[in-house]
Amino acid sequence: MNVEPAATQCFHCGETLPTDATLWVQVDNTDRAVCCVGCQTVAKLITGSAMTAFYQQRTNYPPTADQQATQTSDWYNDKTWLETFAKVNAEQQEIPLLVTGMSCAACAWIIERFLREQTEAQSIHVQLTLGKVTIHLHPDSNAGPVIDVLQRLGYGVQPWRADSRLQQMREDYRRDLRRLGIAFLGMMQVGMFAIALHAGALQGIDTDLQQLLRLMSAPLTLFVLVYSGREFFERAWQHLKHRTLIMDSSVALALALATAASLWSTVQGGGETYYDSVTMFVFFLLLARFLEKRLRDRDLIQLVQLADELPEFVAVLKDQQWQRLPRHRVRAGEIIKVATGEAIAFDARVTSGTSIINESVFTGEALPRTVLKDDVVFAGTVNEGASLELIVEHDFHESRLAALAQDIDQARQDKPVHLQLIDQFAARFIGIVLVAAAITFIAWWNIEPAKAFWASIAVLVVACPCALSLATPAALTAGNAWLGRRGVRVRSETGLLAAATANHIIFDKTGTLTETRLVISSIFTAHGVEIDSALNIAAALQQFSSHPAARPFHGIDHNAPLRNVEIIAAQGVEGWDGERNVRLRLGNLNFCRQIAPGLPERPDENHYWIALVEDGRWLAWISLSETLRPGTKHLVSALKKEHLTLEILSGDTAPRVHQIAADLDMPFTAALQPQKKLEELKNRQNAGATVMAIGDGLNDAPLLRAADVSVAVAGATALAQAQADFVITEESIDRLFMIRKAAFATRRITRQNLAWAAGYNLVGLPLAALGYVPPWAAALGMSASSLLVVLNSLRLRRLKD
Amino acid sequence: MESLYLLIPIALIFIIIVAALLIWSINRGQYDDLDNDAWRALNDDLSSKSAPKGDNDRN
Repeated sequence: MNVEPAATQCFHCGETLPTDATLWVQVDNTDRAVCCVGCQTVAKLITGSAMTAFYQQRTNYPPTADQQATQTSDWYNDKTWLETFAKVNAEQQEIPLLVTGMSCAACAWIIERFLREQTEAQSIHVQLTLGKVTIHLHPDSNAGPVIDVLQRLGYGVQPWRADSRLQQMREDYRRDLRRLGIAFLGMMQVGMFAIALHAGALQGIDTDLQQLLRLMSAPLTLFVLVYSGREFFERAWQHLKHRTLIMDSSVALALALATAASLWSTVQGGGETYYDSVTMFVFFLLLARFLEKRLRDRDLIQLVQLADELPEFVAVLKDQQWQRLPRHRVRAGEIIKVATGEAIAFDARVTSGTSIINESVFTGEALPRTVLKDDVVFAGTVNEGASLELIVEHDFHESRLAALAQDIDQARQDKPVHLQLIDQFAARFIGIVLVAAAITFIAWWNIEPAKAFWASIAVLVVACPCALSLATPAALTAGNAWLGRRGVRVRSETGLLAAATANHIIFDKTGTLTETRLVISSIFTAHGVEIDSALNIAAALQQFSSHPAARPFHGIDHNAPLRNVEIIAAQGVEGWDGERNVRLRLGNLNFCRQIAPGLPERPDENHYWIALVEDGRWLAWISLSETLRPGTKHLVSALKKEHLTLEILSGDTAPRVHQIAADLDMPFTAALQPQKKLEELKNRQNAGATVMAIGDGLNDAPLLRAADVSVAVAGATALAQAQADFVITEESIDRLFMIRKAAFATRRITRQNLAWAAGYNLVGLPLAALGYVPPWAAALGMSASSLLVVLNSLRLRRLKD
Repeated sequence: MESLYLLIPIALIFIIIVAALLIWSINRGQYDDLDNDAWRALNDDLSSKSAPKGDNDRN
């Protein structure tokens, strides 16, 4: 048997291993280290079912097994609820599910394999691109066990609800693909005829045969133009009605004129035809748009559905009994119960129970807030302590979460636009070309009328905006694809252009610069107490607690003999030393002072502090602080060298933000509400800065939406991801370098493309106007210049990391 | 050379057939999930070896 040499990453999920990793799983006779029991279970499940091929075939890591805290498989046994999204009839139930965490095709395979072995399942259909799994069941069987398998594999499961936006997106995708496919077929066939024609022009061709080839090309080209190229004409027409010219206006004009001239030649039986150029142009333009659009759609699909992460079912008190009701049927004034680990679905007030609520998505605070009777809690936050009873204060659409969503809609309208440049340019360009063509026609009409028509057509063809209109999209598509392969998902069309001009970077703190988990940073002990023994006792007490403040202790070896350990919600932990029979407490100031009145105040306000005391005597203050994400320091110092203005805008309290800001030597503003963050951003933008914003939480979403360019980091909430131009999918924040690198390279390539296209026109236009360019040369030049732009953009693929 | 007068129009008929097939298959949803299908094709033997139920019930 082999033991894998010193692994640093979990074999199953790819997370960094804890330094004292002790969990192993045997895969193909090799022991592999895994990070947690969850991953171990899933890995054993997979290898035990002879599906080890999964590990050889995957191209991405599956989700960490314990990310899915709440197991909700029993919901799916509720037939009345199931019918709100599933199709149920006498023969079968068709259950569509949104499955999160499917990162590569191997995931789709393993899901299909596991689910097929469930006797309940008649058939399974996995659509990886949509993240959708459709299960067909016998009408009498329950869906619960099948869902349970998915959840045990570590995937998140939600009902897939028909959404008009997704329906629309699928229709659009198919329509675009049909148009692209037809344009391709047309281009190939017309191109084949064109090769014969060009060869014939050089070495002589039967005029009958030439005419036949043209007659064949004409209907094909017309069909491609009407079927595939219609969007250029539609958009040009829409803008014309508003008296504006855009790039598509000149595209439509060039296509129409080139086709008209070709048809005229065909009817006349002489002159030049441009059928091949027309079809090629349509295909390449459509291809660039299709690839770019598909890149963005992919993420939108999941985000549309994930934006709503609240529980589907809520326990409601009706007639003195707890009933589980679908969320949308709960009204203000009703009493609901929220179990440990569940998200709260409404803005509500606590009526009974004590617990801790994780509000980091709203406030940026890493440690949960303690709530007691009559405290208010908000929709979207997570109950991390004991179960709570709440009275619903508002219907969902009046909640703080809903208000935040409205802020985002508002911010969307304020976003600066970056691609209009090319359209403004196009408007002027097309004007100049039309004037030049008119002058050419009039001049030749007076000199040699027979040449007038062909010379002005040559002007229009030479000046065809193909290369110009492809210059930016081709480069952007290539740049976005490059980033996509390096752990950055690109969600916006023009993010790369803005990223290259950004000169001011705003960071969020919690979850962006820092990881949300805490580490023990310092320990002050009372006289005579050794640090190791204090840690030993603390670790022994904390081993039973799942509070975020207890997690840093879980990796510490301990051997203190404890008994009667009890977790007191929102206060701390109490236990008895088995040997000396004294009471020990670990927790907040007041709780510990009850048995050790001599406990001094917290040493400072910059950290989270936990006290450790025994009867009548204090032992230690232990401080916890957030850790920086890997690569953060390197990133910040490198960005500073490039003379970028960096700053932190955080919702967390000032002392703690100061702690991180001082460490990174960055200016900061603390305790900001989402609305305030937005105002700060506007101030920077009004002062002339092009702002890049980087964040993760709900409270960053409006900021991300309104910034010139925005980045959401790994683990960001769905709402934040939905607003960002880029989403980093790797743990390390230094992917920001990649974004900047791709941005600069893309800008460079775009400029080269534009320079080439403009230069070509500058030289070609006068020559064409003077009648030196025969139309076939104009057409060849047009195709060649487009091709050059595309090939130049493809150089981005070979950009080094 | 006379054969060309027959062959060239035949090419046109072929392209019409191919285009119709393409549109038909796109509308049937055969191109909806290219990533997964590309992968599945390569692993055909894996997925059929021990699957308890035939692949034919996948719709």
